[in-house]
Amino acid sequence: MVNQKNILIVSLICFACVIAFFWLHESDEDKIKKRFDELAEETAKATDEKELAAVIKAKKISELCADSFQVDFPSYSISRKFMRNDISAQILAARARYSAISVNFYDISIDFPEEGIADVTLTGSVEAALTSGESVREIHELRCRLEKIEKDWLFAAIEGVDVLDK
Amino acid sequence: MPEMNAAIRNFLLPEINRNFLIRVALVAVLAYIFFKYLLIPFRVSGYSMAPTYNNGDVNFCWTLRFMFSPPERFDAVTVRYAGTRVMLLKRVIAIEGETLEFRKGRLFINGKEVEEPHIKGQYNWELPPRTVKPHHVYVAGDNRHVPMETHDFGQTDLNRVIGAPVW
Repeated sequence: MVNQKNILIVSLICFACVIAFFWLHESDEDKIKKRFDELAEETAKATDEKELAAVIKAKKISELCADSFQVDFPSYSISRKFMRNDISAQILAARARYSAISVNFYDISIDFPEEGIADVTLTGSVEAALTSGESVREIHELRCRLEKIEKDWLFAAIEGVDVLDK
Repeated sequence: MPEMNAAIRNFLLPEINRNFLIRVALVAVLAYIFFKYLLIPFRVSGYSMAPTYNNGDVNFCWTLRFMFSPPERFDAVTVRYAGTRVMLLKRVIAIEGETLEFRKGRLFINGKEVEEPHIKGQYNWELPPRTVKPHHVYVAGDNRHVPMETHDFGQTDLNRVIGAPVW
């Protein structure tokens, strides 16, 4: 009886340790998903956002990016490379056009083609209100490349995928 | 009568034993698989398929609908993005190899006008002829009263067609 009780206690402790390990251990996939959560959070805008808060958010978004950041949206004829120092100003100008922004990411799948590189496919949804009052809703399939630089996963490229080809 | 009461009581308040827990777990797993992969519930957001499907409508996507035969013209289909959390609900207007065009809001397939029974009213879309690529279908929404530039339509790979709405 004592033996059984001891075995049960040891089993429970082992089980708790395994759970704790998976709970506390953050894999590269978890870190990358967290990056997208941060991107969504920093891109979002409340109607009462102050200018200082906007500047801080733009800076935080630029800190999520690698030294150079390639943007390709063939359906909008956009293909441009941004340097990290320029991103903050671009983000600030882009967000200023909207009075409210909400961003969500869905169906994130992550592939690691080589060490320190992650290719991510996901669906991105943006709902926003222009300062003129008009509502905008855009949904795109996105392919993103992230690079691991000094233990941090940073956005290096983003590409919009054409689901429907007119 | 007492047996019936006992049976009802047992059905509504079953004894929580090992068999009961196994049954609950089995039902939960089967329901998850069924509604995640076979009959995906979705809510319509937007007016692209109005008046057939309206904003806020609830429906289910039956993923086995095109398992044995590809979609045909005028089938309503769901088209996936990166996954099935967000999908497009559209109608097939042309299939692979066909050439389609819009002239003054009228659909022409291979140069012949085709009636679209699900379209209500007149619209003025103009689209030069284009041929649907192999293993693709051309889809558009039923609501053609919005400007063509703001409407999501075009050809898509059959691999992106997940299924069809149940009703």
